[in-house]
Amino acid sequence: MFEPSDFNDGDRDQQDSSSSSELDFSMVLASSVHDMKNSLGMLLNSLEEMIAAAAPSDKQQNKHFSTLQYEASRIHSELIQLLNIYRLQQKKLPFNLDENYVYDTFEDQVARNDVLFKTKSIELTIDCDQDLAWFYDNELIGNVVHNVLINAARYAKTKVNLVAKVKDEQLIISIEDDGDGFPEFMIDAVLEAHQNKAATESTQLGLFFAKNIALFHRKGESKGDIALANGGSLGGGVFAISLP
Amino acid sequence: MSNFPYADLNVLIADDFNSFRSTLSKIMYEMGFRDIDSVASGEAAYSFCKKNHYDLILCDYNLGQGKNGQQLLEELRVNELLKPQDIFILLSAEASRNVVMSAYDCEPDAYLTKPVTTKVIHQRLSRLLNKRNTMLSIYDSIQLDDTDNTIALLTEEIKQNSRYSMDCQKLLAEVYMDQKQFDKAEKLYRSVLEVRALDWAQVGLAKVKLEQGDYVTAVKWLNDIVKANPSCMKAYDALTVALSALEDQERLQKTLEQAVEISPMSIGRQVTLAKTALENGDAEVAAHAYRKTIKYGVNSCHDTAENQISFAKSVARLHDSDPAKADGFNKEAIRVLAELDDKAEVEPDLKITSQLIESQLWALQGNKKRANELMDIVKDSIEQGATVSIDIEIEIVNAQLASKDYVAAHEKLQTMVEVYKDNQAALEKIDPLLSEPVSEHGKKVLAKINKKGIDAYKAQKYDAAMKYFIRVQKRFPRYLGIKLNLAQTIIGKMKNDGVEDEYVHQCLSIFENVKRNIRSNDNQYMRFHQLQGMLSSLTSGREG
Repeated sequence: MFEPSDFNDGDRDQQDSSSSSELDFSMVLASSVHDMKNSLGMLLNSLEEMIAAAAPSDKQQNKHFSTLQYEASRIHSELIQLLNIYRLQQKKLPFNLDENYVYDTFEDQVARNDVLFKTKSIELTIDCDQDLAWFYDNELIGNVVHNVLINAARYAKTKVNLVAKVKDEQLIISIEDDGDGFPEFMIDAVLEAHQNKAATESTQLGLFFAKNIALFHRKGESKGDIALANGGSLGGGVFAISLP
Repeated sequence: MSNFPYADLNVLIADDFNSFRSTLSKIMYEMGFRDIDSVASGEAAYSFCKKNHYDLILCDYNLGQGKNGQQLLEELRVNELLKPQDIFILLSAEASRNVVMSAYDCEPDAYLTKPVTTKVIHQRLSRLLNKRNTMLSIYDSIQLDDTDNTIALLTEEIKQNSRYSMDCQKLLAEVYMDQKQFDKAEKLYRSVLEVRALDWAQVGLAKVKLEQGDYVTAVKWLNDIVKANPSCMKAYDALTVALSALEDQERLQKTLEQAVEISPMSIGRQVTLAKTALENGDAEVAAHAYRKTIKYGVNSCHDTAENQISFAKSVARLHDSDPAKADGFNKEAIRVLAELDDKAEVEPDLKITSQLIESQLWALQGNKKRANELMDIVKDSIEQGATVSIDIEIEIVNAQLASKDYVAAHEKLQTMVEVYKDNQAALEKIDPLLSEPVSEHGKKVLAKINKKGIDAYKAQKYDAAMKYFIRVQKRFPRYLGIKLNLAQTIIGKMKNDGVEDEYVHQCLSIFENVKRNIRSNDNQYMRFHQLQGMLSSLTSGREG
């Protein structure tokens, strides 16, 4: 009969008055990250238009363009990631589970990074059944793939391959490159994160985010996960995310 | 012509940046579109859509000064200027798709985050156009209201397990719901849920329960959904319907507060929250919510005079419970009303209501002269034959009370109770102004919460009892019996836990208020004196 949860009004008022007097630094940071991200988005747009209007005439110029494109994309995606982590922490990261075609998700991310991979002269291929459909949040998984692609653009020599297959009732998305592979400590850090939660903090921000996004995806008892490895079909680094 | 498969589709591009407009136009032309219009503002886009029909609209979220892309979409949907097969694509650098979408009530067909490359647009458009082609006969059938055919077509598409079978299942379930074929809808939702716990199917299933009148189950399921996914706005909306049906005003307000915190820009939800809060006597929450409807309503199809007036009304009510907080809103409320007064298109009865509330606000600030001037204007309008609704009468009483014209207010209330004695809806509106509610519903609510409070008091759960009584007091601020119940509870608590200055003050201010309003023939009069005696013996005991 007596339900304390019915009576939060007074508590709420108190919270309001105390928080308004303090400056919430993480919120200030988040809103300025948001601004920076938008500015950078405009910059990237202009850059694409510029490259389309005046194609690079020599190798040197091409290299400058690709550096500009790569660095700006990298900061842009990193800022998106920061914002998402902020939302994650505030428990405000929206999650929309739906059926998606994996090929479409791949194609979106390939198109998003079209200019980057062209200026870097890296061949980006998709190895996925056109009719493969799976349940996941398209935006969040798309962002994870996007981040990994940008990273791969830096370390790959000539090729990056996006692979999707189903194994043991899990969708495995792998991004393979022909670079020198991940250093051992990073592979270990991701592995250790299985047992020890604190280990996630020593891995990169991107991996932390990817891991959390993977964990959002659940089906019954099973959860999503991420893994790093070396080898794959291209002999370089392999990032894999598994989704139940 | 076969080189231009899209040549007969009309395209509209809306973006405030000239360079982006021409880039988009070029991309569209290269894809084979020939009828391409482009505009720089939301207003222009809307008027173009009123004149022509567009099959495809590419619209930037941020369109400069006027309405934004989402407001444009809402307005197009509300005024039925979009057919089911039309494609609306929202482009934005603002935020991620999820964040923006969950903040609003209607969804575009696609959301593209800037920067977009040519290839992204190509790809996404071809995909959407493929879907449109496959689904065209279904959309046509929906538009013709040919339900049997729609169901047959959707069932066939699902049976073939096509690429759009999931979309078709969702559509089919909605058709069943519209047709009140709840058993079929339930079966469909359950079969989807067997495969995966998808939000839309879970919410759908809860809505089936809601339609079948099983509100308790619906509430339970919907609560589970929002707990698992706090950004599932459709679940909050269904929850709102279920809680209203259960007349659970407190939880309804709480749910709406949660919903608008996640999605502050949804004006519909803000209005519902404000109305609920005002009914619950929570003028502060109402004032904040109405203020947001004004802020986010600029340029949208929701920009209504009613919300502006209700904002000022909430501020006037807030003066009753918390004058200090109300003072902070006063200036803004008066400004909002003044703006309304300048608008010619405002309905005459709204204008009168607005003047009455402005009169209250001036009176509450101590400017009696301005308050009286406004009352005179109203009196003139009424003498000249303006219709006087119950809402206007209530605001007249409030204006009299604000001007401390208690006798006139009291007499007017007596007459109103008599005149509206067979009109329960009107009586419910009068209830908060009376020393005791007269409507059936008001009496029921009062008895219910009051009983909970008394039970808690008897069980010596004083804190719980206080909260119940404060809740009733918010709804029926002039009911003396409740004030005394509250005072009695506080005294009981102090007897138990010891005397505290804060509680003593609270009791004294209750007594002050009661003293002003109680008459010696009131049946609560004796009790009032006893309680005063109890308090003074408690406090003198402490000093001694």
